Amino acid sequence: MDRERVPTRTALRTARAVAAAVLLAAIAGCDGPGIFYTLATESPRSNSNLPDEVTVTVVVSAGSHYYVAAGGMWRRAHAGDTWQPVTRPARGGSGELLVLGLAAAGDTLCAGTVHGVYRAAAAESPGWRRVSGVPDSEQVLRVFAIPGDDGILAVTQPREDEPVYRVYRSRDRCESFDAVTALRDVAGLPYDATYAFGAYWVTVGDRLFRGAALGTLEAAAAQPDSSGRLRGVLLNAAGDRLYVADESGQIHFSEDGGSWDSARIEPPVDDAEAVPLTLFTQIADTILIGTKGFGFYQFEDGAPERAERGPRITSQLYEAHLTGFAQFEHLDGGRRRRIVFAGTAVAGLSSLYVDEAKGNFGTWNWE
Amino acid sequence: MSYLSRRFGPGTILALSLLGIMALFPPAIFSQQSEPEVEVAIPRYSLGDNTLSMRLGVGLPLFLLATDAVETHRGDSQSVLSPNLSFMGTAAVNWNAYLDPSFTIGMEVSGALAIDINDALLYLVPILARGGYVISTPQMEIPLMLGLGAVVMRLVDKTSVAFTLQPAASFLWRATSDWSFGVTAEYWFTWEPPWGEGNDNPHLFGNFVTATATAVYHF
Repeated sequence: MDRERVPTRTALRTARAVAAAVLLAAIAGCDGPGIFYTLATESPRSNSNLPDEVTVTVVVSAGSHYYVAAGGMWRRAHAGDTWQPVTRPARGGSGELLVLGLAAAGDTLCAGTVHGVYRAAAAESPGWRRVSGVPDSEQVLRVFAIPGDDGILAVTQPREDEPVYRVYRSRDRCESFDAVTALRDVAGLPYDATYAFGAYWVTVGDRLFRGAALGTLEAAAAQPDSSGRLRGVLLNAAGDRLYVADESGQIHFSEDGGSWDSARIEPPVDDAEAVPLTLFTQIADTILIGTKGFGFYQFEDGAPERAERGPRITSQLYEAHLTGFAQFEHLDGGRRRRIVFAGTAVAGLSSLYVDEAKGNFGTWNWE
Repeated sequence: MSYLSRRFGPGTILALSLLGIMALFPPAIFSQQSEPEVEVAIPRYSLGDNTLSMRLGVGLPLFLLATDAVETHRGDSQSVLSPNLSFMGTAAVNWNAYLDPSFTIGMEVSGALAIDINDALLYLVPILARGGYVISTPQMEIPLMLGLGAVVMRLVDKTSVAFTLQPAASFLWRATSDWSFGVTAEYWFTWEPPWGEGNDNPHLFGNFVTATATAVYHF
């Protein structure tokens, strides 16, 4: 053919160099379980009606429903599979309030909002009523039902002019609250709390607080040997071992609260320095600990050094930041059923996973 | 995209792709219709002749093959797995150089887009070196090609690279001395190793087929 020849050799060389550079960059970015593996093991999302943008930090069971709070509120029947929005507390003409914390006491819901605490019976249409004791001006960040104790704690946002976290307590199923303490000079929001060995234990920043009464909370004399912020705290089912997790990947445990041992979870990938731990939950003798970025790990009570990465499938959960973790038992047609909820956030996508307790925590539904 | 893939079938998408190709190259198509008396010179290609082909069409993710059984969300373990993907849209640009009248070598960059069962987008960018053998008749060119290269993939926040072998066959009608049009069928056999130290997942092989409307420019 009578045509002008193009400089093919130069073009080929350039194209080859560009292709090689792209491939090398992509290979360097390869990590995790792989895309084909992710696709093969992916769980289809159920049509559960829960919006994508909901980052679930708390799930509670009250009456015959499970409730989640994440600014808005949703609930599903124990035996159901779809979530419905719940009418939130309202204040004067300002409309429905954002719900930041939620606890349950029997059939009563206790909601921490941007304007105090509200309670409602977990009936078909919750009728919210403001609870006395926590001022209307307080923004309630957390509401805890403390395991091992019949009380509910509410923790409020520090004011600009007074940087302390105020802690209020209810002893009457969220009928009223009393101010019990103010945590000063602490590095962060109280993260988790429990009652064990005759004392309250609260994780705040990199310190563990302890007090025979909430009003006497102070940094525990024996601190876990941690190099990161303390996160979840859990008393085992037998009531004889206290666990504390931290963001440096260590699980600390103590049988009296006076001395601590530790087990470290090694990162599953080379480029991670640690497995930042978040919240605990437990199912009989199996303890689950959430992480930031690695889903969750599980271990048998007493053997945290043998913790194994929990979700083998469901890629989003495998690499998720666990923002909320809770397990419940309920009766379904006379049969006792166990259910585990895992609120997650990964790559800007928030989700709620549910394991209806097939026994191996491997069959998670994406709500 | 998710809505489109559910709303239209693959046949519709292929037809739309063909229309798209025709819209891109109207002079070549319509010159044949309005000037039937113009004869197409049958070229004889040789070293130094080149082609640039553009393709647009659909693909079907067939299955994934694992070297060990993989546990699925249903709780069972399988070696042949569903890719959990929708039909793909795919486009490619391919440059070939003739070594002699029958053999070609070249490169190809393509892109494909699929949607997984949770509406997440999967991007695939195969980069290939290609060799081909061209069967020529006065009216037709039938290139039989074999591509070897890598596929850069991205799913939500994950990036991965797989190696791929892609046999393909095109059936092209010589519209003018410079342009040919037709269809290309291609099989993607794609191997994704378990990247990363300590990753004990099995090797997985992705299997896809594509059908694309093809326009080839000779220069």
